[in-house]
Amino acid sequence: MIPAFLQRPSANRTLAGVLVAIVVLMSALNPQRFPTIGNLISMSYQLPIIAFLSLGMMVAMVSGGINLAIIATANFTGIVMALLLRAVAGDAAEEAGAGVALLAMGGGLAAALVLGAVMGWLIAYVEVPAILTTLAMMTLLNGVNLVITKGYTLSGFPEFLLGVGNGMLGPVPIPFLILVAVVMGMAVFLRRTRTGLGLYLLGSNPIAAGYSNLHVRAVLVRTYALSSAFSALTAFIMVGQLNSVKANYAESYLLVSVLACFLGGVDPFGGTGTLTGMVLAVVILQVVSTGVNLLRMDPFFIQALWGFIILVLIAAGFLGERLREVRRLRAARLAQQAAPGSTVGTGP
Amino acid sequence: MEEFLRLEKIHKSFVGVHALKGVDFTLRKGEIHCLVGENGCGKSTLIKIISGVLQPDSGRIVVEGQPVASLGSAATMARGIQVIYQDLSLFPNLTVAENIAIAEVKERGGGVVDWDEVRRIARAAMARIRVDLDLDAEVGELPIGVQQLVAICRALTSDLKLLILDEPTASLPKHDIENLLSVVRDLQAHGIAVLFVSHKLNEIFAVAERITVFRDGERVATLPPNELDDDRLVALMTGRTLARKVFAFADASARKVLEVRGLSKRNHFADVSLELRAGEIVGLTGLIGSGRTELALALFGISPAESGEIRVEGKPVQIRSVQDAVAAGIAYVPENRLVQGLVMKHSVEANVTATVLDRLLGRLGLVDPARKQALAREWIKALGIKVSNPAVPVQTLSGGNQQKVVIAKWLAASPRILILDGPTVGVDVMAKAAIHDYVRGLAARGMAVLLITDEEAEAVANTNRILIMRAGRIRDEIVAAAAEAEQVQQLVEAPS
Ligand SMILES: Nc1ncnc2c1ncn2[C@@H]1O[C@H](COP(=O)(O)OP(=O)(O)OP(=O)(O)O)[C@@H](O)[C@H]1O
Ligand SMILES: [Mg+2]
Repeated sequence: MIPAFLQRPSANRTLAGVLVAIVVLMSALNPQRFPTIGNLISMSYQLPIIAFLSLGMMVAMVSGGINLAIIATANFTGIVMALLLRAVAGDAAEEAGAGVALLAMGGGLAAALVLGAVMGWLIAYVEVPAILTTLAMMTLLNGVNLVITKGYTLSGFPEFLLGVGNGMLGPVPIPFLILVAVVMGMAVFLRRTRTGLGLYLLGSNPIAAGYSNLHVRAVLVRTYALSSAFSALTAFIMVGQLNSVKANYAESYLLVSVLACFLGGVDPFGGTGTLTGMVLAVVILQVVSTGVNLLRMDPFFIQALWGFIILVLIAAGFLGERLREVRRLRAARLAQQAAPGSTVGTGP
Repeated sequence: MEEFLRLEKIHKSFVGVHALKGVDFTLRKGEIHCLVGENGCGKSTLIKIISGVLQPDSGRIVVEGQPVASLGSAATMARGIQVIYQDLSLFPNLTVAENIAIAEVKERGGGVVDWDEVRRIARAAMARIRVDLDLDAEVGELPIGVQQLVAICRALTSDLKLLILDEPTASLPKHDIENLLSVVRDLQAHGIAVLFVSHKLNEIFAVAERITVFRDGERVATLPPNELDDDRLVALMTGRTLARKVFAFADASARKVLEVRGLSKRNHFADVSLELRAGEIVGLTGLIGSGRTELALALFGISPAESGEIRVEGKPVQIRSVQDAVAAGIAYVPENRLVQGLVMKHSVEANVTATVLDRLLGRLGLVDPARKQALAREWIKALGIKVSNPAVPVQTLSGGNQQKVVIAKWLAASPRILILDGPTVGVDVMAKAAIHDYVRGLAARGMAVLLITDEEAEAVANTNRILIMRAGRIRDEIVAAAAEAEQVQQLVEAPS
């Protein structure tokens, strides 16, 4: 299902090449606005949102599942934070200090973790397929979010929270710094912890993982909790950047996060996918998105573009296979003609 | 006799491995030809080249006098060559009938499946090897031995000239092996050639007309069986001779490590009682469905027993999960390495260390990559696993070497009680002896071992007592030293 060229060990090098090519292309198309410091900073503001959602999707996919509820969970988390702030600080929410803001963030994170654990529990213990569980959770949360907000935008967040999403440390946006720290944490988690290593084993062969003294169900519950924690991180940053929450922000990012996994070489059947691949994929998508945006294209066109990229990738995968096959057969036939039966095939 | 297939100077390399080094090989029409050699010497690779799954790097293939450019899988079948691979490649979620008839029905096409036809084809194939399987059973649910029969039936549905069997008997019980060997002779009587790979020397001598020996990617000899015996054959395969030793249990009064009383699970086993002493290797055998694997799965917490008592080192333990079993010091090497034993896409290192990650923690409670790799290297060396480095995916190893990885992964957990379920399936003679030696060494250092096996000879030579299960109960117990393999077999097959 994943094109072979994204699965090979050299895939990340290919991705890096693609990234360079796209940056060069975008710079050539828009030399005034794309290759500028300002644009670089603005991209590093936007990147964390795509990145966190994609990482949340990635862990679910590596386990052999999917998390369709990541956006809905992020919006829910934002709403929980808004409600907590009102409950604690009332109308003075905007003036609330860091302590109150941290409380709201903690509450939001806790809510997301609980939702994730519930999904994980349903998937692991009740054995409901992940696609069904998370689709149901998404629908449920979308409904709940609408009921709570009555469709309105809630705004007025304290300075501290705005800083998390919008602030700068020297020349570097704070959300970007958070992203760097989280990626480093993930590298350690995926390669150096039992749960992280177990995640890959169970995604590939849950039966053998179970026979290997891995607590498959516990790992699944933790995986979906982690996936939801990424939704919460997304919410922290969205709240800061938009100074508001709403029932259905960022819905189009669901497809983008799946696309990032696909591009990053995560096998949708589970078990494989590297962090490096994900980071490269996410940066590529951000560059494409910003580049196309700066060319002043229709936002709806951008959405169509994501779907188009997926289809192109699939086609490229198949084409690559086909071409290799044709080339091999042709080589075999040539060898046959040159000296009947002296060599067979060409091998890799 | 006329030749059917000839290979000339076939070379094949994988990354870091030269698997076939200029192999010449001929196969005559209608002969039974056995292929033997150590694990990883290139037998399966040769077969995949004949079947067109792999392309040789160089060399020439001639079928019925005609050189062929490359045999694609479909082209192979059109020439009447059918292969049953080491890993069977069945569709686990389809029924027996569907699996057997799938190729035939697809060929007829037309878009609509004629279910009566499917069943008719399946029945006809089963009749040819005189088995009677439940046509509607899902293949994934069946024991590995029965799955093997399904794969054989599937190959028999087409017009055959050459049937290639890659270790068909590796996980078959005695009775089915004899049945299979007579099927092979039957096929030959109908002019069908059979290329047969096996590590079991007795069946090779029983069935072969010619034997080809491979060593390290090269063909070292092709001889009729009457010019060979076990020792010559082993010498040709390995360049060494095999020392046969019999297990002796030193201390009959050693402490009891495992005591099981009245263990029962409805429809699987009933009222099972047994004891293992430190240093003891106890054999457990019985037909497929006799309950021996189910008993092992209960002791390992995969499907816990419903009643009865289990004591470890004298203390009662509840085993409700694999975690419970491991905490009690029990390890289980499962019978099906593809499904239960290995995560095939992952590295040898990831597989070997999967059971012991919590013992490889370094600073900050994180898994220490250096120690993880060192442990994998240690086991690769200890069991002689043929692999260029620990980061190689397990699926690229030869079958016997994969089996060694499964064993390594549970030995790495250094358990108190080791349950081995068919541990030497598909392992070559020399490596088998090495594994047996290794297990004896573990027993000598106080481990208690339960060895589940289909091979009576393996049980007789490597245990001190043999328990025989029939219909869910332990019916007999015999002293291994006084037993003959034939006697064990009679007890296994006795009416319950
Ligand atoms: N796809 C592959 N990639 C890399 N190496 C491979 C691949 N397939 C086979 N090999 C290597 O080629 C060698 C020969 O393997 P092969 O499977 O032919 O052995 P075999 O004789 O069938 O052994 P066994 O008795 O254990 O089944 C082994 O060293 C194996 O690791
Ligand atoms: Mg093999």
